[in-house]
Order: sequence, then C-alpha cells, then structure tokens
Amino acid sequence: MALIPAARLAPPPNTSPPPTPSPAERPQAMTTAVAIEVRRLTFAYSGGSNVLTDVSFSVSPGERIALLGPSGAGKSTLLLHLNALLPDPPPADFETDSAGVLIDGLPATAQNANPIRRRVGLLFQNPEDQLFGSTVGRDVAFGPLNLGLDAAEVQARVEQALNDVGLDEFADRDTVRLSLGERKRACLAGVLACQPGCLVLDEPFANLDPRGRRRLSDILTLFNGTLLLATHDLDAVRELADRILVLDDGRLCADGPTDTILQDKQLLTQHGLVA
Amino acid sequence: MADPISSPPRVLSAAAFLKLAASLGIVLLGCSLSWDSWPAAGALLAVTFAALAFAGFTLKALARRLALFLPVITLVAISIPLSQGFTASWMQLAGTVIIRGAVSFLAGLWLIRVLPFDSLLSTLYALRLPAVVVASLAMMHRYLFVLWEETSRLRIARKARCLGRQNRIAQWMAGIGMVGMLVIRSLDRGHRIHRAMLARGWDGHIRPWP
Repeated sequence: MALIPAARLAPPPNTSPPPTPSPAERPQAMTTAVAIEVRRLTFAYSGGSNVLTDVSFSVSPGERIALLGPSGAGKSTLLLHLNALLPDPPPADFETDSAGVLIDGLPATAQNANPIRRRVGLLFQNPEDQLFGSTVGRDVAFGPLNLGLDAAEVQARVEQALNDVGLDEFADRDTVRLSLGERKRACLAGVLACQPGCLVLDEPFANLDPRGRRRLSDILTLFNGTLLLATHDLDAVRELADRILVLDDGRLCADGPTDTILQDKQLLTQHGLVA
Repeated sequence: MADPISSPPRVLSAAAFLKLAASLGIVLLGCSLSWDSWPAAGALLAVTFAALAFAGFTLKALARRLALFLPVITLVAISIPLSQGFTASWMQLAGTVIIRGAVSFLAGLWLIRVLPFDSLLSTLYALRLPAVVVASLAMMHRYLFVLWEETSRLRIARKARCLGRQNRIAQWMAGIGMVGMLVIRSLDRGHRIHRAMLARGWDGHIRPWP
C-alpha cells in the first residue's frame, strides 16, 4: 500500500495566537484528508455490557468534529475503533451497508490496520501511555521508522514535527524531564511525524494550564486535515470544531453545527456537559 | 529484528565506551577477588570510592544508597550458609559475596553518574547489542520513573488518609495492598502502551534511532 501524502501543518504560529479561521477561510483540506464513516456500531468489552450502541455518523474529509459526552459515555472506545485498535466489529461493506467503521472506505479491521493507522493519527489521553521513547527525538521517530522511511526522511520528519509543536530544542531531552504540557506536545509531534490525514484526539486539554491549553489549541487550529476531538472543554470546542457529536451512555444523542449545539442549554445539561 | 533500511548507523563514542569498559573492568576485577585477597579488595574499593567522589557523589548520597543495598546483599550472603550449612569457612564465603556485590554496586553507581542512560543505550547499540534488548532497556528505564511517580502518589494519598499513627503491621498490610494495586495498574498501563505503539504503526519489529 502506498503511503498517503500527508495533510500538513501550516507554518508555526507567531508569538501572538492567530485568529481562528472560519471554515471558509481555513486552507482547503487536501485531497488526503480522511473521510470517516461509522455505521450502526455496537461494541461491548469482553464480559461487559454495551459501551457503544448503534452509533452512526459520517465525517467528510477536512471536517473538524468535537465529540462531547460525560465520563464513561464511550468516547475513548469510539476513538479506539477509528484506529482499528479494538477487536473487529462486524465487517463493514459499502455495498451491503452493513455495520462497522470505514476510514476512507476501508473497513477498520485488523486486516486493514496498517493503512488505517497511516491515515488516522491517535493522540491518547494520558501522555505517559504514548511517550515511551527515552528522548523526545527517539519517541517522535518511532512512527516514521515504522513507516519504513529511510534515516534522512525520519530525521526530517522529526525536526518538522518538533518545529510544528514548538519543541525544536527538545529532540535530545529526556522524556522524564518534561512538563505535562510539553509531554502532550511531544506526543502530538509523534503523531504528526506520521503525517496522518486525520487527527483523533482523546481529551487533549485535560489537566493543562491555560498557557499549555492555548499552545495546543494553536497547533490544532493550523492542522488542515480531518480533526476529531473528544473533550469536555467547551471553549476549545468553540475554537476548533465546526460540528459536534454528543455521545451519552454509548448512544449518539445529538449531531449538529457547533453554534446550534452549544446554544441548546437543555441538551447540554441533560447530558452532563454543563453544570 | 531491525529494518535494514531504517536502522541508524552504529556509531561508537570513544569516551562512552571507555567509561563502560572501566565500569565492567572494575566489576570483573571485583568478582575475581575473594575474602583472602582483602588488601586488593580494599584497594579496589578505595579506587571506586575515589571515582565516585570525583564524579560528584556526596558521602550522604552514597550512604543512603549503601543503606538500601547492604542489607539485601548481606541477606544473600547469609542465605548461602543457611542453605548449605555453617562450615568452617562460612564467614569467608559470606564476606566474599558482600565484597563482590559491593564493588559491582559501586561500579554501577559510578557508571550511572558519569554516563547518561541515553548515552549508555547508544553505546550498547553501537556495541551490537540486539536492538530489541536496547529498546527493552530504554522502555524499562522510562517506565521505572512512571512507576516510581505512581508509587509516590499512592503513598501520599495513603498518608493523607492516615489520621493517626499506624502500627507496623497495619503499615505492612497497606504496603502489600499498594504493591498489588501497582501491579494491576502496571498491567493496565502495559496494555495502553501496546495500543499506543500499534497506533503508530508498530508491527513487532524494533527499529532503533540514535
């Protein structure tokens, strides 16, 4: 399978945060931005009850989606499915319209795991789970090395990704000696170095201080591929997402434009998204 | 197995190699000594202490580490006569084990002090240690710190809820529970790390990066 050309970040931000571009102003998503389709997905962990029940939605290439829901709603499980990291759901097939997950038309099964993971970059909630290299540079190189790139290309990708997240000087830094915000950005660099067409982020703003949150938000604003963001941070949602999916108790409860959903106080209260 | 296309060259740093060789030399020399050759052992210990002092190790820091190490090696030394019987030379045998252990421990401390772990890994890789071993060592080092942080958090959380003095047995019981909790959390974390590796295209092959 040939490597997909990647959706790239625009040049690094200036010192002041750039204004968030509207969907019309944002650079057009490249043809490489990834489409996602989830069809009637139902999933339960072994011996447990359903974590996801009959979830269906589709995401166009270049769309920016926020996935909202209370803790335990099934958001992380859904994101793992988008990276073919959970036991195969029933095979998806466009022709027969059966249930499952499709990434750029490919069923997200173990058989297609490699092409799926080249298209979709997943940022995990806890940076300790994702930052396993001894230095930042080594960790960021992990994905490009697995793509089978030569040493020069790996080096170029590491430098570019670290530059994208503002960690240019951190390549030789021990991963133990990073702040939480730096760890999160290093993790994001590791994902960006694989140049995915879609970024899937699980609670990227959790536990970040306002400056760390601002920096991460700026980086994500400049990403022009498909973006799917699970978060409780409604300010970040306003800033980054054009559309919101609300998941509660494993079911998709709402799907609509960001402004419409965020103005529906009753909906937000009902699903525990505002106090 | 490393991918031949993406494996970086194995470049050996002379300084790092000398430090590693010196440390291994001290260990080998220490292990060749017995109780009878105590003057040579004393000289070797003196050299090692001097090297540690030059490396910036304070006496207090050294004493703290030895206080952790010596009881363990003493127990190991005593376990031999306990299992094989107290012969006439049991003290010499136990003394030899303690000397060898102490020299090796001090040489290891010195190596850690003068050679950052990252450089040690690069040196081992340059010396053609299999990539999978180097990667395993790197991950072990990385997650020892994570585990230590987790242990500290659990201890603080336990202290915060200990509103009176606990007797020794209660402390041990709580400690055992904490160890159990750490094992479960570590297994869970291992599962999540495996997923994170898969998410970045890991296919079971280790491809190191210098």
